[in-house]
Amino acid sequence: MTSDRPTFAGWVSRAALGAGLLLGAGCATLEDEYPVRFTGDPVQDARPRDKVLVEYREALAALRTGKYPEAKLYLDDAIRRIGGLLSGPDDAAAKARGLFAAEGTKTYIGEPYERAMAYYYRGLLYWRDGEVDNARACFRSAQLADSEAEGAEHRADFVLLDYLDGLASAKLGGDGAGALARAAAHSQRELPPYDVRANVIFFTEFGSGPRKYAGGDFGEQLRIRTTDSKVRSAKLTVAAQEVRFLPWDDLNFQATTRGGRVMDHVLGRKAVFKGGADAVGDVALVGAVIAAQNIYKPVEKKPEPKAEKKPETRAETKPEPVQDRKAEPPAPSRRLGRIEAIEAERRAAAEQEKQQAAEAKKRKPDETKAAKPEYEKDEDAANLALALGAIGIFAKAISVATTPEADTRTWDTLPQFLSTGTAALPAGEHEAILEFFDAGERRIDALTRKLTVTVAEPNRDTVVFLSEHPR
Amino acid sequence: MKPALRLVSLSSLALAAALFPGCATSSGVRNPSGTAVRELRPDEAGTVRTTGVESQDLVAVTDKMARSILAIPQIARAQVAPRIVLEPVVNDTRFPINNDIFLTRIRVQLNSKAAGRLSFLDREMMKTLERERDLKRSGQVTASADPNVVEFRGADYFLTGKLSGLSQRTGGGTSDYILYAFRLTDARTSEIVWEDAAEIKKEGVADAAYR
Repeated sequence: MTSDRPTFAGWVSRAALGAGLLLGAGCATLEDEYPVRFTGDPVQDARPRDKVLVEYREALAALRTGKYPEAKLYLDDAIRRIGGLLSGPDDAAAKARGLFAAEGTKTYIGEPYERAMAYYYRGLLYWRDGEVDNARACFRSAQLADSEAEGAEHRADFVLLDYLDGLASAKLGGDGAGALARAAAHSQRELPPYDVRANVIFFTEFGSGPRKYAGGDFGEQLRIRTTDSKVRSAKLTVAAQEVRFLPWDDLNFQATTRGGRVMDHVLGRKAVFKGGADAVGDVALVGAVIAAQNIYKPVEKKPEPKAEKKPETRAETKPEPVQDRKAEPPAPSRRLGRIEAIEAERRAAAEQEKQQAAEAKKRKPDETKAAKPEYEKDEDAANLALALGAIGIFAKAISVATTPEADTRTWDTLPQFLSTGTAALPAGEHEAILEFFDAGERRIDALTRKLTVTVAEPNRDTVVFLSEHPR
Repeated sequence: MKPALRLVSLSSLALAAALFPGCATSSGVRNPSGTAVRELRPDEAGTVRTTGVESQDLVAVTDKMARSILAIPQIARAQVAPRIVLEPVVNDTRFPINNDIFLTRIRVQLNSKAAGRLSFLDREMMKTLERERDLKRSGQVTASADPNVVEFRGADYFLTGKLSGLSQRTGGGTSDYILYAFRLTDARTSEIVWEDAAEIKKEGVADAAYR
């Protein structure tokens, strides 16, 4: 059987095109079909799976600009969503665990340190509203959110949360000694004893918090990037009192000491599968190429018998046997005749080449093609090449579709350091100066600011939120 | 059809069969269209659950407390309906709650079932009531009785409660135990004349994607 040669590349192209169409055509998700009606409100416009993240950011921005009702609204909704995770099977989470959906498709609730911060901010807002027991409840939930760390020494190790838990208990007439002892156990510095007469509580933060990024061959490893804050402490001067704010908790430390997650194991398996599918695809495609090279083999022509070949002009110039030449040297006349014969042969050969060249120009292209060597198709090699090609493309497509990437959505407006302090102030407005200091205790003048501390009711705690970041 | 063409067709078909199910947008999604609003009984657990205080807990606990209070001799055999003042419930759990909601429901239950065997004094309204009394005393508004006579009633009992919690979380899930304790204290003797409690424990494990 004979056929034209290169068609395998065409088949591979068609198959690849088909696979591409299959993969690219319609893997639309429910989120993509979600009707988008932008309202200008970032929370309303957020994708459902990102809503908690947007609420975190908006709540903190509202808190830093003194829009407390707005901050409460966002935090309450976010915390409700966190709490509702135990409602039963979670479709988005199940999908995120699958091979073909990234972890980022699940509903965002944040890593434990992010969840803890949502409870912490809500807690200080409850305290501000005079609901000290609910504030304490939030600090406890925050500490519980941080209790999933792999290493026991890093579980529930926020100093500030235990300290505030105990302070709230003391304010409510209870005993905060247990919580204070827990806080002291995790603290690197001596903590001030509770002063229940202090009626102003300052919640302070400075620096920029951790960021997430994806590492590993396929981005399957969740990693944390930290940047040390230039600000290392702060001081508030109010009514001739100085309140120092040293770093009690470091969110960079909290974020990087969680250890492994259950989801990391899932993502690791996804990465292994992706790598395996890719390797299978490589091997199959290489095998397909090798098989394709053997589909067409040149037809082996049987050599024509020599006897049938007629001698051409060489018969006339057939040299004499060597032994004759050795035996009898050529005479001058015979030598001249020989030279003439060779010259005649050359002229004849040149003439023949000219004629052949002229005939080749006159020939049609198909005649030229037909003159090329003929090939025989090997059906087994063709089928093998096709099968391996299909397997290779399928495996490659599966590999491409497998998404082991870790979820790197980050509450990126969090601070690095948290601190607190108290003061006893009479009712009224008090001018204050807030200063920030670097590691060498040098004041950072650009961050110094004046503010007014207003104590409305001396018998009720006044909560003041101080941040290096105005927004 | 040529064998090669047939093989290509079959391969494409197999590829399509393998890939298309994964591309179905709502395949495997539970309840993709959502759920229409439906009415639930307050004592019924809904679809959205937490390990914290839920409405069914509130109903169960306050029903139990109301029945328990009505059965005590100080209430059941009182010659004159005792006057009760509600004091805010102390929340000692990890769950922020509306502190008044428990006592409000207990009061409603008692008022609806006690048939006048006890009465509650509204101390939440004291500021408003005092302002009104002062207006009457100053003659700015009319009075149906002598405003200079003190008529605000004193309490015979104080009803209050405390919610205490015990929470645990591991990589395997979350467990919360809440003790709902209420007590009735004699305002004259400080004697606790009644106390009862309810306990609820819940646990749940979040999806592995969140652990």
